[in-house]
Amino acid sequence: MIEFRSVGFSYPNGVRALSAINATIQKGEFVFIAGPTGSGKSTALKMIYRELKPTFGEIWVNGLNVGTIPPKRIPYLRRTLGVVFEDFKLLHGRTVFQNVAYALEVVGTDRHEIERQVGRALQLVALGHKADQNVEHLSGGEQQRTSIARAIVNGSNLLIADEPTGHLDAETGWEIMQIFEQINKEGATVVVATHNIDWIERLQKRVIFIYEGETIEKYIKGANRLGLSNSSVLSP
Amino acid sequence: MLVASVTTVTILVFLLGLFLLFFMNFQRIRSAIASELEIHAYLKQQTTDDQALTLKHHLASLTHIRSVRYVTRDEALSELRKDTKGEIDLSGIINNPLPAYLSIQVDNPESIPAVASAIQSMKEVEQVNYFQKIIDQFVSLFKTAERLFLGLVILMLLCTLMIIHNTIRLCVFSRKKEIEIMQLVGATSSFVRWPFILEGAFYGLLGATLALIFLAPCYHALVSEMSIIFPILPLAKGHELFPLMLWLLVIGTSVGCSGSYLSVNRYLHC
Repeated sequence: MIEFRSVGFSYPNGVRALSAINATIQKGEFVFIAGPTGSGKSTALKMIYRELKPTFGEIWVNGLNVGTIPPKRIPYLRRTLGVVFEDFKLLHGRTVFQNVAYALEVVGTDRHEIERQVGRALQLVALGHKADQNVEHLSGGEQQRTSIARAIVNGSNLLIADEPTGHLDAETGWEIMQIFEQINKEGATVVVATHNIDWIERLQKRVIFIYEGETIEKYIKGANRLGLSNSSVLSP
Repeated sequence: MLVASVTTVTILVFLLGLFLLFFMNFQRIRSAIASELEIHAYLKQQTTDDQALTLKHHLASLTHIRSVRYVTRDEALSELRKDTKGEIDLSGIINNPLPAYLSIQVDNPESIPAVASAIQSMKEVEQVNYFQKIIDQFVSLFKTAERLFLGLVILMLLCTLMIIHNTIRLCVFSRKKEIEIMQLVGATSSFVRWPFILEGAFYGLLGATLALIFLAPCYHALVSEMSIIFPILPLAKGHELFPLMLWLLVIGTSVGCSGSYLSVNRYLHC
């Protein structure tokens, strides 16, 4: 489903964020991308939905080399996956319904179908009763759930989350993780970038560990520093 | 942001409209004065009325010549009596010394010297007068003034475009996050762009309309005052202003549209 083939990324000022990482995520998996702050987790995720273009290497998503698609095709790539951000990225001044519906409006879905699909997505994240509320009036957890509903409303089978609990307390963060788990159980591939070891240990999912821009194969000592056992959670 | 954008467009289109109205009336006054300038071609003593009329018809068909009027010797004396009434006593004149002449008006004051030179070469013509010095000064003065005015109008137009563009750019900048989010959920560039362009067009049209609402009574008051002080000035009024008003609406709307288009494009990545 997602394959990193010797992918590297450097910023225009020459700073190397990722150095030739290799990783594969199969369809239907729930995978954590873990590592300390600044290790390159977000950079790796941003390249999946082409917010950033790999400096070298290839990223294949659902059979498509995303590094080579022309800029005008990028919106069509993003419609095939859902992204959840640390800062929610909701449209202010609009309701929960309007925010979730926007992902369907951009693809020209008719009004009746929008109402049906948005209703279903809001039920999944337990926000059906807040559909008409302005997003500014929601709590952090509710805003993130709105963001998740928007990410899944178009029926995409790939969900990417970049530090989705970064602005949330532990209890609310765990609720969000449980929603991701539920989405994964329904068949979607879920990729979550986090530096929160609690989630990794509690959910016992596969981990791709990135340290200083490289994957775990080269930095076993980094994983040990974070207290991860290398028998159950580390990626091969 | 709506208030800032619309207010900016209103003020600038109002000022631009004022400038354009001045320029338009300046050109009308120039044309009116130019149309009063005449060349007098004094005919030789032996030229008959028939010859004079033939010459008149010939001149009327030439380029740059707008009208030709034949003034007989008797008509010339009557005109002189009328012009000098109460100042000079002409009752003692027995034999009319004045020659007949052709009064020629041209379409363009710059062509007067060339036309006068051509008329001078005709066999029926004794002498040609066209107040050369005055006309040269008139042409030079109005040419300079016209260039100056045109320069100011162009400058005003550029300032209007730049300031409105910048104001709209600030408005779009404040919605930069919104544009980013739209793109992240899969909106194409045109899907993001069109609402902003329509919004810009609306701001531009609304601002220009408000400018015209303020400009109309101001101009009307000014024209009324000027008509009392200088009644002969051919100032533009009524339906003569419609084309300019339409242009101002078009300028306001276009600048709003283009400002939004250019501003949004800065934040579109694809």
